[in-house]
Amino acid sequence: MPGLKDVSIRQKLRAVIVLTSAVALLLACVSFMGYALVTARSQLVRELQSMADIVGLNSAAAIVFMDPESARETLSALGADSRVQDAWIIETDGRLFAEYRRRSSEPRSFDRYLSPGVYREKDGMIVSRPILTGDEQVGVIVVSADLGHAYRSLKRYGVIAGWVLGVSLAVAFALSTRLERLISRPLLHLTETAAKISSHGDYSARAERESDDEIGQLIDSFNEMLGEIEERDVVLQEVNERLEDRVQERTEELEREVQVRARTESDLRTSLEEKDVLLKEIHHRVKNNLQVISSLLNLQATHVDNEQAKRALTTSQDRLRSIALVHEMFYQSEDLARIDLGPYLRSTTSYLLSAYGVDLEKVQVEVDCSPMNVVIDTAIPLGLIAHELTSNALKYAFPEGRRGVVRVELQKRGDSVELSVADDGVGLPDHVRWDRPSSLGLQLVNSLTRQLRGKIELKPEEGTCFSVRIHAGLFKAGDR
Amino acid sequence: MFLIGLSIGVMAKAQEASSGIPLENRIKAAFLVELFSYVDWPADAVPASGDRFVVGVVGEGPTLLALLDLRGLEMEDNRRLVVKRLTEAVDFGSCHMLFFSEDPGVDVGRVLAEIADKAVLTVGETGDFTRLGGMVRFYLAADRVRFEINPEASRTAGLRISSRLLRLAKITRMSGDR
Repeated sequence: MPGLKDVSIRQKLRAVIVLTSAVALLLACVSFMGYALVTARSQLVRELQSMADIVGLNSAAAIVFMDPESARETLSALGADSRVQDAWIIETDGRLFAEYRRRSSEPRSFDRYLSPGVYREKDGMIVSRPILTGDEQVGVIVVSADLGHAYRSLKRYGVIAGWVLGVSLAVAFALSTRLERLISRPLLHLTETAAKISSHGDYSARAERESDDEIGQLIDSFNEMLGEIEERDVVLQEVNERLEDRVQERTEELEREVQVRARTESDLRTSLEEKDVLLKEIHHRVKNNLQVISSLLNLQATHVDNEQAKRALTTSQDRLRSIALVHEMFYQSEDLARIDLGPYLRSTTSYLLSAYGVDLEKVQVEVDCSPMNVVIDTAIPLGLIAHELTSNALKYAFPEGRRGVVRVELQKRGDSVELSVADDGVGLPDHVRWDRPSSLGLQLVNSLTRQLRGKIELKPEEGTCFSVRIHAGLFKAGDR
Repeated sequence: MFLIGLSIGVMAKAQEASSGIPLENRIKAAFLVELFSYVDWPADAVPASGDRFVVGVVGEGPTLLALLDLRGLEMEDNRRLVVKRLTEAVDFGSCHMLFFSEDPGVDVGRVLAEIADKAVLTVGETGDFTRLGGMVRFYLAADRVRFEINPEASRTAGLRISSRLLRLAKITRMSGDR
């Protein structure tokens, strides 16, 4: 019964009780009525037969003595039974001897009923019995009766059965509403308890046991289950609390650690900043000191009459200037550990141009540098090498107003870095042995190249082209 | 009863064969035979000849002729019908039944009085038969043969007439002057 599936158990129980009673009663009523109908039929047959026999017996003499009037009178006695509709007495040769007909009944033929027996017609029963005197048959009596009577009593039974059914169902319903509580009340109580527990999460609630049956056992099991859940809950709670404590502790530890680290970090940053400031200060002071020395050399030069000595002082002054420029670049750069050599080379060449009073319309200097960061230990020697080579080119390559170009290049080639200073000037005089120089400038270049573990070569080109190769690793960070 | 039907059928055939006996008398004869079935004789009163039904006929008439036609008929209890023509000299009490024809030729009243206490069924056709003390009288009504019965007379004779027969009959009493 799909309709019943989702209704409450109380209604289900009620429906089951009432429906069962209804079906049982209905079956009882139907079988009772069926039995009544069958009984009524067979009783009617028996009664008709005995009536027919009595009337036949009493009519035998009338037939024998050919007195149909008397037979009719006898027959008419059958009319007292309201079920009897027609009756005929028929002689053995098939002639009608006497007839009785109820006023209401339709005339009908009796020919079919001449042989004795019971005939069931759709509207009634017909009984045909022989009329005997002694052993001899003198005729046949046929009595027809309708079943209206039987059907009427059946109808009456039906009405009574209907009443009984109705009253019984009402009683069954009333009883069921009381009886279903036996089952439904503990179940509903259990359901309510379960609902309360699930909505409030209160596992201390218990269902009350009322009976000793399966529902009672169910409630016991339910309560046991609740007990277990509650116990586990308590244990879980404890574990949880312990865990929370641990987490709390650990969090506090971590917070402390974080604070310590933050402090350490800020200390570090502070000391780093202090270091930077200090470093800049050192570079600044070194640069200033170098400038002071340079100025002192300049002053000294004004007091020297010897041209050679004067030139040596000026050259030294230029070299100091070149080193000071490195320090200046360092304290001006963001990264105190490295500087880009490009700007340095541009700056130092433009200084040389102005220091030597080069006519910029005749001699041009081109600086072509890839961006390349260098540590101070590489920057100072490399800067000095560039300085020496460039100043040599400016001083000697273009004598007597010769025009030309000086190219300073710094390029990365494979795993080495190449610094080249080239000019399209007159070239080195034949007596100059660049690899065993007599001049201080080229000696410096050679010794500084060795210091950098590099190689120097003079390229066979027009003019002069020196190339210094040093390993690219010297340009790497941290390689001091 | 079948035999009666049969006998009536036979008589009808006889009439067709121009036997000359009127239907009325043949029916009376048949009724006479049939009466044996509805009357009980006291056991000690039945004549010694146990295998016969004896009908004595007093006087002449067509009914006698019809009866004679039925003579020797076998009854349902294996007894045979015997018809006797009776004269004054005969002992009327030796018969089961005495039939007085239309013209008996005797003093009916006297004979009836003589045998009133004997177990003899008396049947007659004359109008005052039952009033004279006879038990069964045939008469015609609406062209049908009917009979009247005097139960008092049969009771006096110790005969028991079936109520079913009585129901078919007109009941009469003996006349007051007897």
